[in-house]
Amino acid sequence: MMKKQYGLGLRSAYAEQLLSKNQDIDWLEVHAENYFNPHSYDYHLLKRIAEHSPISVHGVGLSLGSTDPLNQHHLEKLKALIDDVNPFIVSEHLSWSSVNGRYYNDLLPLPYTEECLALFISRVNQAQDFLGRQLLIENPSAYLAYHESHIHEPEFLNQLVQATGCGLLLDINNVYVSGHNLAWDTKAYFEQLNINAVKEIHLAGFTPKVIGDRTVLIDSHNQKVHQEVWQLYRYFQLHFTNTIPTLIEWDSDFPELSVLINEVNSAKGIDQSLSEVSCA
Amino acid sequence: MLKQLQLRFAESLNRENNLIGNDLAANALSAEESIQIYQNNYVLSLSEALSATYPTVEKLVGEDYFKHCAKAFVLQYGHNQGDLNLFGEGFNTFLQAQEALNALPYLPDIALLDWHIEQTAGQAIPTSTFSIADLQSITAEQLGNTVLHLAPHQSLLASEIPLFTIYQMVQHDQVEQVELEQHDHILLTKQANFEVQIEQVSATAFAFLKHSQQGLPLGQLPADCLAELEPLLGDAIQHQRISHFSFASPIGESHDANL
Repeated sequence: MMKKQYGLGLRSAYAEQLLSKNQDIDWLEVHAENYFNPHSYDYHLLKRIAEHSPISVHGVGLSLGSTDPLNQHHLEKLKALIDDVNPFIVSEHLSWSSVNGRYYNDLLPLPYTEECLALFISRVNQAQDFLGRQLLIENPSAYLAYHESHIHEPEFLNQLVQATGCGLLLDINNVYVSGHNLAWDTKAYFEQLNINAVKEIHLAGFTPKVIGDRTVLIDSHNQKVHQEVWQLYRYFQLHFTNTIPTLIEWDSDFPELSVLINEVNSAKGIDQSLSEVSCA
Repeated sequence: MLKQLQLRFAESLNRENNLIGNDLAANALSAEESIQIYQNNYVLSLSEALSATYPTVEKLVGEDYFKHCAKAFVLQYGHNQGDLNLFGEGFNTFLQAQEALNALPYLPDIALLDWHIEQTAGQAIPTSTFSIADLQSITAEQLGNTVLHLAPHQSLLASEIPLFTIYQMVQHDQVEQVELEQHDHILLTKQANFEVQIEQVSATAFAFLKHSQQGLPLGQLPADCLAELEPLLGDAIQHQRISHFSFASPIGESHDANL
């Protein structure tokens, strides 16, 4: 069986340190839009890093769920990046971020309806056809739900997989955040999801924010993975599969690289402890 | 229906109304509170992009006031492309319209310089060098119709204040009295190490390079540039400021003669 892979989000704060392959990290993931200019310094560093480290490309701006047509210029830049760095995974989000040509640069929530599913299927097909490869679609973190949503998110994703052949990127922090904010059963989420389609796992930190008499969890990616998310990760590994490549994300308020390496080691530690349990 | 829902959501993000509230399922948070989270994320991501593009402006006005300006700019103009690297053009004009910044009359030009630095840093450096020998095929009859092209890794910025001096002072935290009634002509050049070199050039050299940047034929050069054509051309070629030449067509367009 192939060894499980552990990755880290490559951010410019760490790029120079990651130029040499002396960290125990199996792969690095970049936000696609940060590398759309092949003449930038960041791109230059990425090319050097890609000489020794596998790369995955994670898009945040394609706005697949928008009712606007797909931005062809954006797709072309994404394809140029993919063709140049040859990532082993390319992913995007179950979200939208633009309407009537105005971009909001956030992962905005979609209503889970047949109309939205048909649109999203069409967009994923279009993107996969243009890119000539499979996309993974990541579950979002949510702070609201729509009246008209009547398909559960895992079922929506399952139907998307079935119709397009795309894969899934399961963000366990997002499952926890949405579960808390919208009172979902997070374990039932896993049971409903087509786990065979999951090709990558994300883990990140959230920020609790008190609003009125409630605490809302914000998917902030600026701190360590919370204990509750580690527990959910452990549950997923134990009850479903422990072979899916797992990546730590950290997008602002950057600590020393060693802090992120420790987070990767925490994920490894959980998997190791589960292996020992299963061997005992 | 989905289109209308997304439009209502966008109007809420833009603070035009909060009609999206009618679309939201009951939640412990009010519609306004839920939308506020998304609005915060949207404003924050674009404000951070502005901060990365305009570091000198932020240094001059301070982090808090920069955030205030950035938020107002984001909400007023938004962003019309998915690529954050392209966000922020026109921030200098926005700053110029802020009455509270009248005490910093140089700020819009500093913003423009920040913008030029970032744009120049993102340009390709030509891989081939252009030499005086490349011009030898041009006949005397063709000379007036010849267009020299400014290399793409350079840009030009003219200012009616001593912009270079002020920029250097801010970079080195050396605040001194400056006479604002001085013009400046600045050439920016991306270096092989990805840094951008900023230098002052003479008004004549600026006019010559600007002429090239605009794709105009040598026959239309201003008289002061024509008078110094030989040293201007020699300097431009020596410093790789010209990437190639072409000949202007009779209707004013040009076609490449040497790439």
